[in-house]
Amino acid sequence: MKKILKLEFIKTLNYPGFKTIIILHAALFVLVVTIAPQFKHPMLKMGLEKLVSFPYVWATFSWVGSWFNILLGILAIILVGNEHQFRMFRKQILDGVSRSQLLYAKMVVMLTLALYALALILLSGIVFGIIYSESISFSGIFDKMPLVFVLFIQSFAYMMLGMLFAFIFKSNAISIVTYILFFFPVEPILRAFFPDSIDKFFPVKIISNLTPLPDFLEIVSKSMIQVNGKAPASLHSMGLLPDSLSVLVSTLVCIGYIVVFYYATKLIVDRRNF
Amino acid sequence: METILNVNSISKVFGSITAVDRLSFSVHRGDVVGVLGPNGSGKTTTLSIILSVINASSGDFSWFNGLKGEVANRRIGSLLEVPYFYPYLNLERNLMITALARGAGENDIPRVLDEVGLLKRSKSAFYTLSLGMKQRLAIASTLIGDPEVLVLDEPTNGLDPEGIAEVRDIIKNQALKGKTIIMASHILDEVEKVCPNVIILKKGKCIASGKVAELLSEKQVVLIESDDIEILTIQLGQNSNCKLLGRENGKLLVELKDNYSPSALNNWLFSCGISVNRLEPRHRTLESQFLELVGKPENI
Repeated sequence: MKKILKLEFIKTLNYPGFKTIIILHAALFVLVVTIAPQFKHPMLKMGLEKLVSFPYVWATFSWVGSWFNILLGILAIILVGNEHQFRMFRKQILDGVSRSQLLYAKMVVMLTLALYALALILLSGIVFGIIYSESISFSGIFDKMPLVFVLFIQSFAYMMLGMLFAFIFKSNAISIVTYILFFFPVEPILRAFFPDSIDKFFPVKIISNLTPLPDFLEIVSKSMIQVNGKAPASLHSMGLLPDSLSVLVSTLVCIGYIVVFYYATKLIVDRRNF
Repeated sequence: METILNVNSISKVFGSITAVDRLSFSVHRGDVVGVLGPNGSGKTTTLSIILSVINASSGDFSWFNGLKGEVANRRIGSLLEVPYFYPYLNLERNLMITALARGAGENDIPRVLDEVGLLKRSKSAFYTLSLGMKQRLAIASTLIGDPEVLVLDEPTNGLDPEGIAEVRDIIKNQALKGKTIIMASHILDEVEKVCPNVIILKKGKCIASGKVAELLSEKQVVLIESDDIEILTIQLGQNSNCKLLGRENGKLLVELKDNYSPSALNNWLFSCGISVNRLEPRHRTLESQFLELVGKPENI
């Protein structure tokens, strides 16, 4: 398996599209998190620097990072689609790679990409947190850090779903279009036919809920309590954030979906005529 | 002799098409076997099944007394249809992927590139190669790790006459080293020059197998013209030295057994009271015999 992983990384790291998408992913994320704190809150007429200070930076960066997970999902589709396009799954089986090894090697690449996404957010979070926090304490840094690890699971889930689509449709173009349409509007439309108690368990909903929108209003207005003594306003109390499953439950269900994506992909790989 | 490959009644059905139909054969160590048949006869599908890239609908096969799948494939150098490589990687890296997959040493790469005359292009990207060079690279990849068996599907595809001769020499050299070789082709000449044994396929079925020399020998054929072709046909049916092949523009095409000459036939016909207007010896090529064989009805 060590040799199989080496060959997997030779072909992946030397693929020009891989470098382009990774650079694009990192650059877009850094650009957004650099610009966002500079905006003034329209109602409170104050900056959003608080959002990127400890400990709020972890929730903010996990949420912003999740926007770009779709890029990693598309990258997973392209990496699998290329194997179909160049008929290299066939060549590798001829050369002695088992069908299971084909799948595991791709999963290791995706785990590595998820680790990269995690590292990007961890490093940026520490840098931005240090720059924007008024005071730095141990608990301030580490309190909400586990949220970032949820992003790791989320990005892996995005890529596993992308890989499943790529194995179903083979063609890069069809897989990418179907994948994006599945996120919007196919699943949201499907969810409309189900009651709230069921619709919150749909895969896209679960995966998205792992990194919920931080309550900007609550975070920003908290700093005003000291001034006027009133309870902070929040998007949640105003009904602007829907009730959803807790992050822990969502994470567990998401892991369940990852297992389902894996077995569905394995079923295809084992039966396919390459 | 040790059996290297045993194929037992494999079939492959694609929708309403039966590409391979209950095919059985075996290959022994050191055999050089040609799989011959027209386009669509099931050659590539058969090789794809025994190399585990497609699953058989029924039947079974095994390599090396019970192996199949990736374990067997690591001991086989194979080329199926057109060469498949990563277009953006150079030749060295593409072969490195093959070497890693096969568990072979990467230091074997210069040797195989040199063997197919591509050593100087080792740093070139695959997409920059001509069709002939791509085919040579595919041959090189089959030789990585010095496998004991070679399975080659149309190995001279896209090569110029010089390239065809070179590839043929490479295959012959491998055969001389005692390698077991299975080579599929629709070109009789290609198979005949390399393989002493053949399996002839038609519509997924094996219609003949054995030594090329026995299956396709250059026998004497004569074209006979007579005023009464029906009586001539009946009379020839009684001569065990003759085999009626068919009619050609109102004349009979007859194959003669070895050591039975056209003049002996003429004398025999004369003794039977039949005079012929014309008796023309014809040279019957291996190609025409092959075409005749694959043109036979399926139930033969």
